[in-house]
Amino acid sequence: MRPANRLLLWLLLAPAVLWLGLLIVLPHLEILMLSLRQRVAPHEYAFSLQQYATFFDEPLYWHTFARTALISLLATLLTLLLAFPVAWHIAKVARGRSKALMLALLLLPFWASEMVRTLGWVILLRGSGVIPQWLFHLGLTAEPVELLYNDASILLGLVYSSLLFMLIPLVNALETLDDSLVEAAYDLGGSRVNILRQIILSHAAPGIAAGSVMVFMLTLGNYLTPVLLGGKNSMWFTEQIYTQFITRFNWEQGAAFALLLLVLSTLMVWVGLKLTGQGFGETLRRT
Amino acid sequence: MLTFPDLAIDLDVRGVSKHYRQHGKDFTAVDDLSLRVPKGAFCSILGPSGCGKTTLLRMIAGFIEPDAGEIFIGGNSMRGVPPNRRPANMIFQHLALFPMMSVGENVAYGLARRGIAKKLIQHQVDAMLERVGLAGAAVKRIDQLSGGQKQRAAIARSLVLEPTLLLLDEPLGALDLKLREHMKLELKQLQAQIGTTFVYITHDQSEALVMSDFIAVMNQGKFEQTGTPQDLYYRPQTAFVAGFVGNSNRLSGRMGAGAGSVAQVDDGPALFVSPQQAFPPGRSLALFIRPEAIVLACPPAPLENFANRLSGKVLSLFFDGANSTVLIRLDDSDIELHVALFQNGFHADIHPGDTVSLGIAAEHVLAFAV
Repeated sequence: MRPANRLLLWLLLAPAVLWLGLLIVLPHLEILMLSLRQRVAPHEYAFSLQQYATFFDEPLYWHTFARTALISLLATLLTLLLAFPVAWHIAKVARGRSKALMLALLLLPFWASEMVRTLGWVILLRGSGVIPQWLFHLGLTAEPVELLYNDASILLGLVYSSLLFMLIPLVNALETLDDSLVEAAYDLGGSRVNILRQIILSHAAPGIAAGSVMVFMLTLGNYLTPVLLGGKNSMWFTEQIYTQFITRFNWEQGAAFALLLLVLSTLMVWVGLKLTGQGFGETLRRT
Repeated sequence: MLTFPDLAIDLDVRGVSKHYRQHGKDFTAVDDLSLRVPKGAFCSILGPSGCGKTTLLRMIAGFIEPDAGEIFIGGNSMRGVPPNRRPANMIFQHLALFPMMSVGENVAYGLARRGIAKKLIQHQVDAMLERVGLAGAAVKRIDQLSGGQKQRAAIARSLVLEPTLLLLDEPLGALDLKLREHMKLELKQLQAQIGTTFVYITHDQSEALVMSDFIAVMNQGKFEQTGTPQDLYYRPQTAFVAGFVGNSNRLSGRMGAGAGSVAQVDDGPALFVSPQQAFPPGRSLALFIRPEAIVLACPPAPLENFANRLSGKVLSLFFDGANSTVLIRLDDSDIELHVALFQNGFHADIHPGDTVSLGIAAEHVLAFAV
């Protein structure tokens, strides 16, 4: 490669390299270093694993951690179950204008910020809100019930905010499925369940993996939805990180938590892909 | 309509119709069709695209319910029977082999759905693959097969289920010309060997002529004519069949007034014709003359034995080995005729501009009312 060309290549790569270096690699190195030190005296720090020891010693922390992972997993599963029939309808049943309209309707809520959409759920679900009042006036409940601030409302919010990210890869995956494959399987004696499992799901598997990875990571790192819909007792791990950094001003502890969350999400995505036999590269290509 | 008195009928289509609404207008895809296919026959449904042949095939397979009429396969009514319970299997236009499975798994798919033991399936799959010339290919991925091998794998996947009827939806269409010619013969031989009843739809008249025991020519939702390839070629019953099956020179003209069957070609000569029914004088006609039915004399010679004796000039020569033709303009008119040029050495030195004599027997000028 001529020197001039090499210079041009680096210039073109510069934004990406700067982005990666300054916004992703450097902060993470900083967080890693923060998490591995302990304040021994004012303005005096020493290497220590104390922050990680605290995480394992204090049940509240790792309970929150496990709970966050489990609810995220559940939210991913629910999102997949809800999104699949919708994706099927958009990819295979809807034609022409109605298809375009449906895709537009999916994107429409994203014109409002996530904060506003989540507050919308607060308005619907809080004790003096729309749904509890209806239930009360219809005589279904003796008094207006508080539907907010429980696990179900967190789950609801998480699924709602994740649907689009599951739908797009699913629609893409299903659109590439040749209808005649489904017909051929049907013609050869396949039942609906078998065709779904052996033909449709196995064709859509990379799309399912891509959507699930995306939704799981977004859910695990979500802060706004659990706090707004779960209230003080939401026990979401990102909240713990926030508390350490902002409320307690214990940056060392917060950094350790942040790294643990990173390791957890990476590990769970890896295990998930291994279990479903999906390649990492192929999945990334689909997202 | 052909009759097959001594044979069992594997497919019996009785008065089947299918209508669609398209752009607010009613559209009849299949119009009151009846068809009987005897056991072990290779039957083709030949027609231009949009004639309704795919709709008919999908009704036989069970993907579409007919609006009227009934379909019997192997003597049993198929009303309300879904495709996965019909004793008919389909070869799709693009074969629809499952790319997520190996060749062996593809062929085993239907057997596994019947709940047959794994060991027995393995045995049957291997036997069937060997039969279609794919022995040892069971472990291959679909994308490792060549076009012809994919074709055979798709056929194996259906035939392993031992269907009463194999339906083929233009499966040769996606192949290149040379392979298509080869697969035509192979498919015909395979059918003769295995003896399964084939229903083959195509718009390619050569495929239909080469492979079929009998052909139904379809146009605008109706059968124009059903018969053997020879029937359709030598004795077409409608102008559509005469024009669609094989090559023909098509002329338009009018029935003459005098005695005998003479037609006046528009802006051309009068020809002795063989009318397909009695026409009143002045009736406008479509005349069909096959290029190989015209006898050529070069240098010009009196062709005493022919009812129609014409003369003309060679406009151009289309050399294509055994399929060579010359284009000849008749003297004193604008009529141009394609004439087959047999490569037997008699006409090796024919050139554009040469004057020639033409002889056509009256029975080779088919006349239909239009």
